[in-house]
Amino acid sequence: MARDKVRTRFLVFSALSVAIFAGALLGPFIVPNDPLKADFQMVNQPPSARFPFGTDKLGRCLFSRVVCGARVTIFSSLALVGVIFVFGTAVGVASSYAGGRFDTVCMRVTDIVLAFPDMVLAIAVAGFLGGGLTNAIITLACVSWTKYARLARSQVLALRDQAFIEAARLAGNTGPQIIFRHIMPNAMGPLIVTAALDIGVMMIGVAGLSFLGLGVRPPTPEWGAMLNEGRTYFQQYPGTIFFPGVAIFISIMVFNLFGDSLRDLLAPRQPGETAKEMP
Amino acid sequence: MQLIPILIGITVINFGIMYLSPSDPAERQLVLRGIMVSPETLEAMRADMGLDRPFWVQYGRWSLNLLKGDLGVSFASGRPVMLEIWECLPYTVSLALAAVIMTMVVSIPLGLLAAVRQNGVWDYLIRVATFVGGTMPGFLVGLLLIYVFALRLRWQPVISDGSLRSMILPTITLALAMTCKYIRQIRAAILEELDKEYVWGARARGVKERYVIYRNVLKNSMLTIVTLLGLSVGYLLGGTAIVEIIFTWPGMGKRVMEAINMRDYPVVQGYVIWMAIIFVSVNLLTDLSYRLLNPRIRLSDEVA
Amino acid sequence: MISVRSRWLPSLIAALSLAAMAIFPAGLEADPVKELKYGSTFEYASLDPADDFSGWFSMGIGLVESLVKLDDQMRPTPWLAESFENVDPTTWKVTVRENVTFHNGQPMTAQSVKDSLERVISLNDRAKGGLLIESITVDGRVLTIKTTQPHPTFPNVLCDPFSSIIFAGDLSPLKVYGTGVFKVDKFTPKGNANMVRFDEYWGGRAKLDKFDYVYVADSGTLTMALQSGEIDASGDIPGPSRDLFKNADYIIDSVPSSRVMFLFYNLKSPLLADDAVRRAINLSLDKATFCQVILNGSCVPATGLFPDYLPYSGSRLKAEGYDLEAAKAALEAAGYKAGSDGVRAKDGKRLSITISTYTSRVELPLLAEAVQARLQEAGFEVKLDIMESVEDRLQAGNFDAIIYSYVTTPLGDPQSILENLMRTGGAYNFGKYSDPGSDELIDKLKVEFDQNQRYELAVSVQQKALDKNAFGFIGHLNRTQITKKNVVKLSNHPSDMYGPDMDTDITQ
Repeated sequence: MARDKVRTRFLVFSALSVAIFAGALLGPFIVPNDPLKADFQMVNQPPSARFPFGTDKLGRCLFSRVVCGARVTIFSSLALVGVIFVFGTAVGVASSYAGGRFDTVCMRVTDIVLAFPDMVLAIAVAGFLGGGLTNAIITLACVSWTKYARLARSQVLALRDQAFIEAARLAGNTGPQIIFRHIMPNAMGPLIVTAALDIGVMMIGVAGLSFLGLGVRPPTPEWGAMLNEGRTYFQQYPGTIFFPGVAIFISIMVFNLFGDSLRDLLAPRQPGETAKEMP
Repeated sequence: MQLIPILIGITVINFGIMYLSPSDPAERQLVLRGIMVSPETLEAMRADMGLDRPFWVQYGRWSLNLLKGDLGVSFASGRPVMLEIWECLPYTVSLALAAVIMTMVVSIPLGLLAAVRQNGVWDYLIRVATFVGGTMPGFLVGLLLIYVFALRLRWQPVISDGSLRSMILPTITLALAMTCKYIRQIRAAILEELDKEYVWGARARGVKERYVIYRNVLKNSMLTIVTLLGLSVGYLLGGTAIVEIIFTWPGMGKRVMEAINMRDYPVVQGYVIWMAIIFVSVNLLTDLSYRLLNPRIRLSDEVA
Repeated sequence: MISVRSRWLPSLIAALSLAAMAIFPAGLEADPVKELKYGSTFEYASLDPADDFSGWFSMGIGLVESLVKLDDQMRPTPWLAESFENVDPTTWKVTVRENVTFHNGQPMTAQSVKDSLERVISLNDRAKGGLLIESITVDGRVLTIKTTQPHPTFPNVLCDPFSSIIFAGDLSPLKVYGTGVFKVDKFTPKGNANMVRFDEYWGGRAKLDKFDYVYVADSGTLTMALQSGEIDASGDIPGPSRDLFKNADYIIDSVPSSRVMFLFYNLKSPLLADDAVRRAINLSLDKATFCQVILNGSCVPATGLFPDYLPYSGSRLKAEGYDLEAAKAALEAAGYKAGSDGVRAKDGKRLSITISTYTSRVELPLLAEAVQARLQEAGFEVKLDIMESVEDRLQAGNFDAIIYSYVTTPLGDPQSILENLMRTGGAYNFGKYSDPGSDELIDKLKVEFDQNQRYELAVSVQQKALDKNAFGFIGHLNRTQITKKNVVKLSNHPSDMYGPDMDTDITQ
C-alpha cells in the first residue's frame, strides 16, 4: 500500500475524530433543548422541527440527550484511556528499569489483575462500591492499566540492550535521561497505537456498564443508559434506541478506524504484532 | 507454580473490595433474621460475625472457609452461595463454550478465504463485514437479534429457558465481536505464513496450493488461534453478563446482576472467585497447548 | 505426529457439543394438552404461604385455597368453608367443607384446618397479628375460634393468602400440599412453577391440563414473549406497551384495583423529618400527569390509600393538590434558598434526597423518574436508586424516600393496611410515622362492628396522616391483564390474589 494513501486515511480519520470530540465538547452549548428538562405535555413525540429526534418517555429532547450524552461517553472514555496509559506506562517503565524485586512485585500485581476477566471485575467493583459514572471509570481503570504496563516493560527491555542506548550511557547520561530522551521516544509507538485502539474498547465498556445499570444514574444522558431506558418500549418508540445506538456505533467506528490508520502510519506492517491484542 | 501467589492475590483483592464496600453485612444479617436494627443489636451482631476483628483476621477466616468450599450464605435467599453458583455456572460455561465453538467454525474458513483471495471481492467483503461486526456493542446486537429473529420472524423464542434451541441467539451475540476479531487475526496470520520461504519452496516444487495450505499453513496458524483463545476467555466470561440479561439466560451473569441489585455481596464474591478460577485455569491450559503446538518454545524452555 | 494433533480439536469440539446437548434437552414439541402459560415479573422463593408473601403466589397458581374467598364485590364468601358465623364479638364458628382432599391424598378435616392455621400463626407475624386467634376447638366439621379481642373482620382475614389451608405435616418451601385445582409438577425457586391438574379436586375436573407460571425479570422481554405467543397471559405488561395489544388477537381486561403507589417518607432521616420538605414533595407530585401521560392512563390519581369505589376513599379526604409554586414557596419559607445550580440549600446543606424503588412493579421506575423531574423543578436534588428489591432498605430504615405499592384492601376492609402502615410500630410502618391520636382511632377500628363507624374511623386515620404529610400518595393502579383471545375465564380480580380455576380454559 502506498504511504500516501495511509497518510490520507490517517488525516481523514483524525479529522473525523476531532469533529466528534468537538461535537462532544460544544454539545451542551449548541443543542436546541435542555437535555434534562422533562416536558410532560410532549412525551414520546416523533421527530419535529423543535425536537429533531423526537422526545423520550418523559418528554425530554432525544437529540439534545444524544448530543450531550456524547460528552459523558466520549470524555469518560478518553479520560480513562489517558489515565491507564500514563499509569500503566509509568509502572512498566519503572519496573523494567529498576528490575530486581520491584520488577517482580509489579509483574505479580499485573498477573493478579489480569487473572480477573476485566468486565467481571468491573461488574464486581461497581456492585460492591455502588453504581455511578465515577465508580464505573475507576473500575475500568483498575482492570485496564495492566496491558500498558506489560507492553511498556517489554518495549523497554527490548531497547535497553541496544547499541544506541549503550552509547548514550557511555556518553554519561543518567538513568532518567536515558529513559526520557532515548528509550521513551522509541518505545512510544506501540503504546500510542494501543491507546488509540482502546478508545473504542473503553466506550463499549462505559456504555456496557451503564446498560447494566451500573454506570450513570438517571437522568444523566449517556448512550448506554439511554439504550437501556429505551429498551422496554423500543417497539413503539424505536427512536429511543435507534439514535443513541447509531451514535455509539459511529463513534466507536471512527475511533477504531483512527486507531487502525495510526497503526498503519507508525508501523507499516506487523501482522504478528496484532495477534497480541485483546479481542 | 506462579498460580499460588495469583490465587492469593485474587482472594485478597476480592475480600478487600468487599471489606471496603459501604454496606454493613451485620445490618443485612439482622434484617434477614427479622431483628430490629439498633446500635446495640448491630454491635452484638458485628461481634458475633467477627466483623470487629482486624482485616487480616477476617480475611484469614474467610479464606479458610473458601478452601473448604464454603463461600458463605446468600443474603437474599439464605442458601449457600456455592449451591446457587452451581445451579447457574453450567449455563454460563456452556454459553461461553458454544460461543468459542461458533467462533472457530466461522472464523477459520472465512479468515482462510480472505487470506487466499487477498484483495479480491471476498477479502474486501469479509474485511468490511468484520469491521462493522467488531464495532457493534454486544447489547445492540442482542436487541437487534431478538427483535428480528424472535419477535418478527419468530424463529427463536424470546425467553431463553436454557434449552439448546434458545441458546442460538445468545451465542451469536456473544460470538459476533470475537468472530470478527478472529477472522481478521487469522487472515493476518495466514498471510504472514504464506509469505514464508517454505511455502514458496513448496510452490516451486509444484506441490498443490491446497495441500500446502491445509497441511502446513493452517497448522502453523493454530498458534495464533490458541493465543487468541486464551485471551478471549476473559472477554467471554465478562460478556456473558450483558448477553444473559438481554436474553434472560439463566446463567451466572444474570444471577450476579440480580445479586448486585439486591446488594447480595456473598453471591457477587462467589461469582468473582469462580470466574477468576476459570480464567486462570483456561490460561494455564492455553499455555500448555501452546507449548505442545510450538516445539520451539519447549526446546528453549528445556535449554533454559 | 502433527496430523494426530490437528485431529483432536475437531473431535473435542464435537464431544463438547454433544455434552452441551445432553445438558440442555431441546425445546418442547407442540403438545396436544391444554396448557396455559402465565408470564410474570415476580419471583418467589417458596410455595409455603407462611413464608413472607409467598401465599399470594401459591394462591395465584391454583395450588392453595383459603376458607373464605372475596367475591367480585369484595365480600367474603365461603370457599373451603361451608359456612361461617359470628357467635359473639370474640367467637366465630366455621364449618369446613366435606370431601376436600389435599394433593398428597389426605382428606381435609377440621383438625387439619386447625393445624394449618396454628402453623401459620406460629411462623408469620402478619398472620398472627391479623388473625388474632386465641384458641381453636374442633367439633366434627365445626371449628370454634376464639379471638384475643373483638374481631369484626375475621372472615376477611381468612381470605388473606397467608390463611390458605395446607397439609401442615410434611412440607418445605419447595413441597407444599394444598387443596387447589392444580398441584405442583415442578417448581424452581425464583423461577418458574409448572402445575398440573389435580384430578381429585373437590370442585370437579379442571378444563386445563397444565398451568405454567413463567418468571421473566425484564418487562420488555415479557411484552415480546406475549407478542410472540410464548406466554398466553400476563398481568404485568407495562402501561405504555399495552397499545401493542390493542388488536383482535388479544383481550385487554382492566379493573380498578386498590393498589396504591405512594412514597414512604423516612421521618427519621434528617431532611425528611422536616414537615416543610415533605409538604413540598407532596405539592410537587403532579399526579394527574403521572397517571394520564407517563403511565399512559393505567392509573388514577390517589389522595389517600383507597380508590373511589370504596366508602372510605380518597374523595372524602382533604389534601393539597399539585402546585409547584406553592412547593417552592413552602421551601423558601422553611429557609431552603435556591443555589446557583438550581438546587436549594439551607445553612449550607443541600436539599438532596435519594429516592429508591424496585423493578418488579414495572411502572415504578418510570414513575420515579417522573417524580424526580418534578422535584428537581421545585429545587430538590434527587438521586434515584432503582433496585431489584427495596425490602432490606425499608426494614433497616436507611432511606430518604421509597416509592412503593400495596394492595390496600386485599381483604375488602381498610383495617389491616391502616394498622400495619399508619399505627406506631406497625409491620409496614417503615417511615416511623407515629401519632397518638391516630393510634387511638386505629385501636377503636379494630373492635368496631358497625360498618359506618368503621368507614368514618378509616377516613379520620388517613386524614391525620395527610395533615402531617406522612406519606406521598400518587395513584391507584388499574389491574390490567392481557390474554390471548383464546384464553377463557382467567380471573382478573381487583384484589390481585386469584389465579386460574376449574373453568379457566384455552380454546384451540
